[in-house]
Amino acid sequence: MPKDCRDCVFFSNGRCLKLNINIENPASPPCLEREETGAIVLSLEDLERIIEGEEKKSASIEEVFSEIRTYGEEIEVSREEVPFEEVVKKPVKEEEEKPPVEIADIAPKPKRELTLEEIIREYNSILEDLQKNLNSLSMLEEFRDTISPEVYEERRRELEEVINNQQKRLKSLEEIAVSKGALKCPRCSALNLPSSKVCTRCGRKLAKRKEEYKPKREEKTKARRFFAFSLIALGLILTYIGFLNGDWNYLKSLIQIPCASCLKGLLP
Amino acid sequence: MPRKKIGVLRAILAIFFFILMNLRFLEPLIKVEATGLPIPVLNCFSMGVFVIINRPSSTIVCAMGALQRSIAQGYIPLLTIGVIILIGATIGRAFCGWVCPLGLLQEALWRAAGKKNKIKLDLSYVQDAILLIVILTVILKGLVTLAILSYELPTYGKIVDETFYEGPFCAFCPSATLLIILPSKILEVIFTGEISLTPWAILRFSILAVFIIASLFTPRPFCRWICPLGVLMGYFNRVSLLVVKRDLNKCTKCGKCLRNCPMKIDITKYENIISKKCIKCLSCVDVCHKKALSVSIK
Repeated sequence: MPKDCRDCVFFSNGRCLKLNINIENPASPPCLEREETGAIVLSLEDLERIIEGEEKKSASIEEVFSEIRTYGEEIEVSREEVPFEEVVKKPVKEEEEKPPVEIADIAPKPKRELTLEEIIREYNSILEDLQKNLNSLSMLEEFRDTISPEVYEERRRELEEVINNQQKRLKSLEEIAVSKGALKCPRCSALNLPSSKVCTRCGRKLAKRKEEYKPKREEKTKARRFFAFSLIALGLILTYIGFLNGDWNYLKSLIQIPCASCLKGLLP
Repeated sequence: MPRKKIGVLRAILAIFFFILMNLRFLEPLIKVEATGLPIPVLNCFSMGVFVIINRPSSTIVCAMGALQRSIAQGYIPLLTIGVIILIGATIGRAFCGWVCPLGLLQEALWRAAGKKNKIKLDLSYVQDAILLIVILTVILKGLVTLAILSYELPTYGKIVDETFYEGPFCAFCPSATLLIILPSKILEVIFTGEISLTPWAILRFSILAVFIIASLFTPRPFCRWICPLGVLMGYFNRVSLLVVKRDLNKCTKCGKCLRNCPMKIDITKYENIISKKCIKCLSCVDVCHKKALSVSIK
């Protein structure tokens, strides 16, 4: 395994294709840190979160590893010295008297309906992620020859699964948003508020309503088709008249040696 | 169609069409009649001169040569114009990508040299200007032939008059140089041991050499910068029924299509590729792994 990300086939544009994370310091590869040192670098915040067990109640060791981040204040915990089970074990608290539980507290709360702004925000953030994933997929295609087929297949399958899920989610969000009057940018596909005049993502001028934009394009296509068929008809008529005029024989007579235009002046 | 198969298919079809367009080459063996069919590719109708048989091997007429010759002789080439409109409105500039032997030769050289693009020139306006000059010159000559104009052409003898004013583009066409003059000169050297080069011949060989060398550094330089027939057919791309479409939802703008496009069109700018440069070679469709590009009839 290379000791520097820059020597690794998975490293591209400051990003690790294998772990799908940004690499800030290529000289210390995150994959090496995990596998070789045997030490987990945990921040105080991480440790507190694990011990309290609020977010990671049934976390596997791999999930904890994936959460590791380097912070300003760090403490080192050796794998051998502190078993993982002990770290995640919830501290035993003395039993306290609990107040009586009310039905309203434990009943599932009705889901709040998302506002148009929230839908648009979520849609655009998924769209952003989707494009990153699509780029990763195309980069993976570029590096196809340099990585092993197993890794390629695995990575491609993972990416395609994520992309499919994101596309499904985008579709459902788009339907809701458009029904509420959101405007879709024809250039970058981002959603915008109905009052938007330009796309918030790419700056393209937006049509006032989607319905106003679509028929215009259809009309243009129809006009082109009509023009093409008119030209074909004109071409057929001209060909027919030319044929009757004896163009065929005239053109046949041009096939001759020596060709007056091309060859005169070439021979001494 | 599987990846990279369209390129092979194009090469096979181009060779097939080249043989078909010059089938009179087999005349000693089988009887083949020449036709008066004008085709928009640079396949000179004098093809075959001096080479093995001493008669033209062409079975079709080069549309550019036919247009120039007819108009210069005071004749309105309705059949040629009709066929150009018919082909243009149906498939646009597709003949450049699938049939033209000179185009395919340039593309083959470019691909063999590693698809470099070191000469990033956009000379499409030069192409338009050349087409305009050719048309105006032959119209002028046609008016003189019909005695509508009594303008005395500045001739330097009959040769220059006929050579330049009847076919101003033919006088420099690198296709004719490659397919007719070069083989004839090679045979001249083989049989006589001597070579006679006029200044005009040297000029034509120089033009051919420039484009052959340029093909190693940039794709299809002659087709992109000079060819008036190509630009004439390219105007029809805006309306042609056959069109390459880009699916905006699938396209990731990865730029693979641009790197493989032999006409260097920025495909990501278009939804329908209606650029007058597009030769409908389908290289972009072939390389797009997202299948965002497709060819369709609108």
